[in-house]
Formats: sequence, C-alpha cells, structure tokens
Amino acid sequence: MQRIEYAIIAAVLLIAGGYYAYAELLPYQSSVSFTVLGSDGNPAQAIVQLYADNQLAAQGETINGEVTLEAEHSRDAKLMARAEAEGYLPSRIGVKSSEITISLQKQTVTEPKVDLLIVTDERALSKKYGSDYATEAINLCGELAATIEETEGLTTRMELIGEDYASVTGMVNALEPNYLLIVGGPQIIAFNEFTTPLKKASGALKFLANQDPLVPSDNAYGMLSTADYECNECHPDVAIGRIPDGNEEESESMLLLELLGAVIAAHEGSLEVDSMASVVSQDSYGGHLNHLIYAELGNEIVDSPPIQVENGLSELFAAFAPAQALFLSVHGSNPPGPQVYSSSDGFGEYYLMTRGIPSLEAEEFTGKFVLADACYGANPYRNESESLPLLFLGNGAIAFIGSTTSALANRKVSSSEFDDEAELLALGSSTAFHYRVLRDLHDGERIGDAVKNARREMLAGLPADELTAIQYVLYGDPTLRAND
Amino acid sequence: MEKSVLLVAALLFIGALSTSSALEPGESLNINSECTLELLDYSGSLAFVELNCGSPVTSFLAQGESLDAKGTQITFEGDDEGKASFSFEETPEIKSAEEAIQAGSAHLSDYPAESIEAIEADCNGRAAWGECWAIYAYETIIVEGKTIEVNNEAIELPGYSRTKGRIVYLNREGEVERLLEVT
Repeated sequence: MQRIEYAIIAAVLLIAGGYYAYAELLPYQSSVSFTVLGSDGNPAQAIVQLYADNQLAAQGETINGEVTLEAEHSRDAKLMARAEAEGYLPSRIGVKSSEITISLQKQTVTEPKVDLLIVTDERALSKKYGSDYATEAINLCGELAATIEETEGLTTRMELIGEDYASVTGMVNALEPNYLLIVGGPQIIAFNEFTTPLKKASGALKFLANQDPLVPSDNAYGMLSTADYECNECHPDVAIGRIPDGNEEESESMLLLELLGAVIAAHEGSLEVDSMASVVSQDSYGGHLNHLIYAELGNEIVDSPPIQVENGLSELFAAFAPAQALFLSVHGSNPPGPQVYSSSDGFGEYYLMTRGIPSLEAEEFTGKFVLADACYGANPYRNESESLPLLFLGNGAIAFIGSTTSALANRKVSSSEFDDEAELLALGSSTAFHYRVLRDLHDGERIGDAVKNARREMLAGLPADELTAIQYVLYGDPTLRAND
Repeated sequence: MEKSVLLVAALLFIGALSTSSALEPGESLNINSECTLELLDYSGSLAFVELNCGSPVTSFLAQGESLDAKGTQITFEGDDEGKASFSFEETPEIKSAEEAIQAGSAHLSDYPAESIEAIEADCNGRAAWGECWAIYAYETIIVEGKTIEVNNEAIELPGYSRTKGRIVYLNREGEVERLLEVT
C-alpha cells in the first residue's frame, strides 16, 4: 500500500515536470509550406521570411512559387510571414497552419512618356498672389524643369491646368510620368479627400474615424486608371511631391517663389543623408531608434521632456545642426489653429515647437530631410504663419514628410527588440513607413521613390496601414536624392 | 511522516508553477522559460519592477495590479513582512469584454479606468473578426495657451487640443499581438 502511494506521488511529480518541460522548455519545430502567387495567378519568384514573435526565424526563395521553411521557436510563438518579389507589392500574413498561400499584388505596368511632370494652376496662382507673381512662379517652374533635365538627365514637362489638360488626373493618365511635382498648396491645387479607411475597422478605431472622417491626400493624382490594386488609393504608381504654401485665400508671401528657387539650387548641388537626429516624446520612445538604419545614421536622440520650450531648445538645435535627416517623433495638435508639436511623459504635456518661438524661427535647416511622426504633422489647412512644415521648408529643409491627419504608430517597438530590418517593416503603420523612407534615402533613392516604396510596405486590408499609406504627403521635389 | 513530506514537496512543485513569491529590491525571479521579473524598488504599496521577456520593460504596480509575462499573469499582492509579494498564474483564456479590460488595463494605465473599452476584433484590426480582443482608450487633451519667458524674451504659446489614444490587441491567452498608438 505504502509503495503505491509513493508511486502515485512520483508519477504526479514526473507528469508535472514533464508537462512543464514540454510546454516551456523544449523548442518547437515548425515546417511551413508557402505558395506565393501573383495577383495574375502566376507563381512568383519571391523571398519569403518566417517570423516567430517578431524575430526572423527562417528565410528562403521560392522555386515555381513554392518554398518550405523550417524554424525552431517556443510552442506558443506567434508566426508571421513576409514575401517580396520583383514587380509586386510586398505582403505579410499571419501563419496559423502548415500550408500558406500568399497572394502578391502585381505592380501596374506603365509606359512613361515623360519622367517628371511639373504641374500648377496659373489662374489659382493669380487669384491668390496676383498675375506678376503667377508669371514668376511659372517661369521658375520652367527653370526647374530645365535644371532637372540637365542635372538629373530626366525628361521633364511642365503643364498648367486648363491648357492641354483639364485636370491633373487627365495629365497623369495621358503621360504616365514616373514623378509628379505639384506646385502650390490647397488653394492652388486642392488635396483629394478620401474617406478614412478606419471607417471599416472595428469599434476600437472608430474614435479616430469620427475625428478624421476624411483624409487629405495627394495619392489620387498618382493613381493610374490601369492600376488594379486591392487599395488603389494606397499605392499610387506615380511618385508624388508637392511644393506647398499656406492655406490663405490671398497672400503676399514670397515663400512659394523662395521654395522653387531652393529646389533649383538643390538640384545644382549635392545632398547627403549619412547622419540623423531625432527628438522623441518620452511616451513614444522605442529601442529600435538605436538599431539598424538609425544606428547606421548615428541617430542622436533628444528626449522630450526634459527638452521643452520652457527650458530652451539650444540642446535640440545642437543635435539637429550636424544631422542631414531629422526625425520628429512627437505629438501634433488638432487643426485648426496654430500648429503645436508637443511631448508627453504620460503625465504632463510639454510644448516643443510652434510658430513664433524666436530661436526656432531663426534656426536654419538647410539641406535637411525632415520626417514627422506626429498627428496632423503635415496637415495642409493651416495658414503660413501657423504651419510648422512651412517653417522647416522656409528655413532651408529639402523635404518634409508628414501626415495630414491623426497618425498611428506601432508601439510594439517599445517592448520588443528588433534587430532585423524586415521585422520592423512587418510592423506596418507609421513605424515601418518612416523606417523605409530613411533606408531608401540613405541608399540613394530619390525621395519620391522612397515615399512610394514606404507606401508599398503598407498592407491593403489593414485599416491602420491603409490610413498611413493615404495620409502621408511629401512636401518637396520627388526627384531629389541624397548620396547619389 | 516521510510520505507527507513528499506529498507536500509534490504539491509545492506543482504549486510553484502557479503560486507566489516575495522579493526584496534587487532580487529577481524566473517566471517561465522566457521571462525574468526583478524588483527594482519597493515602497510597501507600490512595486517598481522590470519584466524581461527578451527586452526589459519597467512598470509601477499598485496592489492588485497585474502584468502579463508570455502566458503567466504576475500580480502584485502587497506587502509580506517587508517584501513585495507577487502571485503567478497561468493567464486564463479571455472570454468577455470585462476580462479583456482586466487583462489589457496595464497597457492603458495612463487613461481613466472608466474610459477603457474592449471589443472583439481581428488581431490586425480588421472588422468583425474575433481572434483577438481590442482594448482601447482615448481622450482629448486641452492645453490652455500661456506666455512664458525664455532668455528674457516673452513667448506666446498658443492653446491647443490633441487626441491621444491607444489600442492593444490581445489574443485569447492575453498576449499582446499588436499595440497601436495615436502619435
């Protein structure tokens, strides 16, 4: 009898210990067979990466559209795959079975009649600034076109709305340019307003859908009628940029002319992106800012707080001065009204930037690329004297990239380590968007292509990704590039 | 006698998978094969801990508050003779919005508790799928304008409002699948 009791106790110990080892200690081996097809139904020659809990676990290339990947990971790891192939948009998918089919959307085949199309509206310019100003702006557009042809070797054409074509969309579909430069802000050439993709999301995102039911975007101008993506407005085939001005109906500002002159000068010089600095709201910090492209560019991080207007911004400007790319990971104020970039530590609110701060107004940003991960960071419906993007551009920045409405970042970067580039890209939303732009800029892509490629990282069907793809705008000439 | 000692040992071993421990500042504990909990500071009613499941995350825990450590729920139970007492339980499957809010509230501790809501959702935020729970909160912050002085210069800072919000997608086991935040 006594032996039986000992045996039962021993068995309980063995079973409990065995289960613990099985569930927690022993690695689990997965084998997943992938079939990668293009949206045309053909097998795609793709690179497939398998992730376990956001860490790259295995990678392989398809043969006839198929590859099997094997990986070791903990039993309860979350698996995800990413696939990319030449001529297709990249895609990501959750892995919940041993056989997965990934469908890649085929990129539109285009026949560009011109590399760059520069477009503006003479009547709107005259209405806002007067006819002399409009003439001068159009002359500068012509000078810019000639400069780009000479310095970049790109075929360039300038068009005025109402001359050969009635609309920008008509021009773009007739000429199928690789790049489109819109000259003027919303009073010159209006932004398109898309219904927010968050409208179709679950209730958790409804509060943002209610706040921003419409999303101002330039993407519609880059959509070709032959495009056949799941989300055409997310993935314009034309790389678009805009040289903006304020939202006033009438103005005597010289800013638009100065920005055109600055773009011409930029094409005549050379640009570099080999260094960067970031100002980061304390509640937005992620360890990824010290890795990968951020590490390659020597990202100098300034925390806010303690940096805030009340303490002076000299430390911030000292970090910004040697950097060629600036990353603003801050909070943005709701329009209308003067734009504010603020920070938070989760408890208090701190002013960081707004118009009228003497030291900020006097700061030079010559030759810098500015990326703003802030709500309404590049919202176009502000007057010149209220707009921070126009401050950066007016003070020399080459380009400003930001969102027109409330943006969404993936905060998994705050609690996980990311040491692989594709892991970060797989996070989607503004986190992946900014990463891809910086990577491509550093690699020598034209800024318009960098932004277009970043949009392509956004997955159709995911509302947060679709929002990011639509809401981000490029203020600057899309054909400019660094590290050429 | 020997038999009862062994029985207690067996129960303790099984219990160790889902019981409690008391820590002093500087002490740490392996939670499961993937996570370590270290008590950084302790005031008697508030525990400042570092949870490391691959990368360290620090949190303040008041009595009764919990953290999720890859399938193990860590709860700060209170003071135990000058030490911080924690209990460990396998995270139960989430079956209701109330349970989801409880499981996700640690990620939304800077929002008023009454503003936190939960809804079944796809783990990536698509509509109408029910593989995850989306626990979310949002609020509009209104900041009054003010005049400050920096380097003997008066600076007008305009009033503004901004919307803050965070959405945590938890799977049925309570693990974070996705964490989106309004910038």
